[in-house]
Amino acid sequence: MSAENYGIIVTLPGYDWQTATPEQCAIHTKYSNPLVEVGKTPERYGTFTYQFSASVAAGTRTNILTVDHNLGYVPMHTVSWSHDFLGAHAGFGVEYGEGNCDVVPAPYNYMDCYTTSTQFKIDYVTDPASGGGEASLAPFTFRYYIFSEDGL
Amino acid sequence: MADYGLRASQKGYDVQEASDSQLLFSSSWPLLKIEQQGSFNTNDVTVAETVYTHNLGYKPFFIIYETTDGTSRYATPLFDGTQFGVNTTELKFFGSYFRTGAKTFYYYIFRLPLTTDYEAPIINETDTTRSLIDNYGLKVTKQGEDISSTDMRDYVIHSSCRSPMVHKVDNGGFTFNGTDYVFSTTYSLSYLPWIRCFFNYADTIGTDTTYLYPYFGGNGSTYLKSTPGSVEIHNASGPFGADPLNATTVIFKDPFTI
Repeated sequence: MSAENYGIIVTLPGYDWQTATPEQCAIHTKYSNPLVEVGKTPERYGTFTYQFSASVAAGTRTNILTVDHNLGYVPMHTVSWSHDFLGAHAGFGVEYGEGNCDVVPAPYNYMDCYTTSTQFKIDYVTDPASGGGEASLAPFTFRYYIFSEDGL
Repeated sequence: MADYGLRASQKGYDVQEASDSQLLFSSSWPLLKIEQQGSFNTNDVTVAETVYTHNLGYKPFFIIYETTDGTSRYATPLFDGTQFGVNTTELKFFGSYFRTGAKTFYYYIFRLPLTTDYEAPIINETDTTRSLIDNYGLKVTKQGEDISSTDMRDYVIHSSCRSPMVHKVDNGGFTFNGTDYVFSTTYSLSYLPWIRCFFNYADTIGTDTTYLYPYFGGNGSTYLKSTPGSVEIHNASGPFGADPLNATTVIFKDPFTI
């Protein structure tokens, strides 16, 4: 099928479809949107809570979530997380991180979030020199999307 | 203005009962439209260079992945010291502060201005249960793709999918509270939504200041706090030793807890 000049434009309220820019449209078929297929097993989006039961040794990788998406290609994804910091960082309240971020109390312990052609994973990685640990027993909550778009 | 428009629910939900976040789309707010996506390779991550010239005339929402090892990692700056930013014409790689050698990235640029304030209306926040099992819906392919395709990458919208829906874009300056630089935003959603933020430091491409990923989770020095209805970005100091100038908070209708 050839790429003809046709499609659908749905403007936001108050804009004329004949003159609206793509930014003034809810949908413009010239531009695709990151889509997450719903109803799959397991779902390709969700919220997940993980609580450490003890401190983690330095220099280790702990898998805390694996989702088998089986898309056959490495997909685009997003992850954000929240954590109620305790101890030395009490007072920060519930903090939100995005993707591969370090987490307190040690600056080089981090959440490693990534996709392969079959899986989406979140690993907690402790730095060899950090002395280890996620000493906080407050739960981490993750929110993720695995999109049907290329991430590679 | 007359009350008309177009909306479609995700498959299984009655469109007249579905909450805003259970919709596939509504003409009352925008989806996150992809302007450009592609790979970026560098043989020396210490060298800054232009990734893509978008020429949109505004600073667009963007997402970066690191793909060097054949996986796709949601790239935030502290992970390996790499930093990307946008101005009104370019997506730029600013280099890494503590890595060397070659790296590969994958980028997305979206048709969403980071410095134009926007807020969508709220039509219905009460979720309904998935009750319809009929196999019907709405699907629109990308230009040139076959409508019978089972690969969702071929579609602009599809009733079997959900897509991030923009609720609010808020751009403004930081204020110093004696300890931190703080940027505060309020929003009218009754639940905690998915939120993304961008910082504007004094780093420039020419004279055009750029918007960058912040260092969230940076050992407490930069962090985001939110309760339903408000969000605060705190920054003790800029990651380059500079104080932040402005920030943008992008709030989606998608709940943080699904």
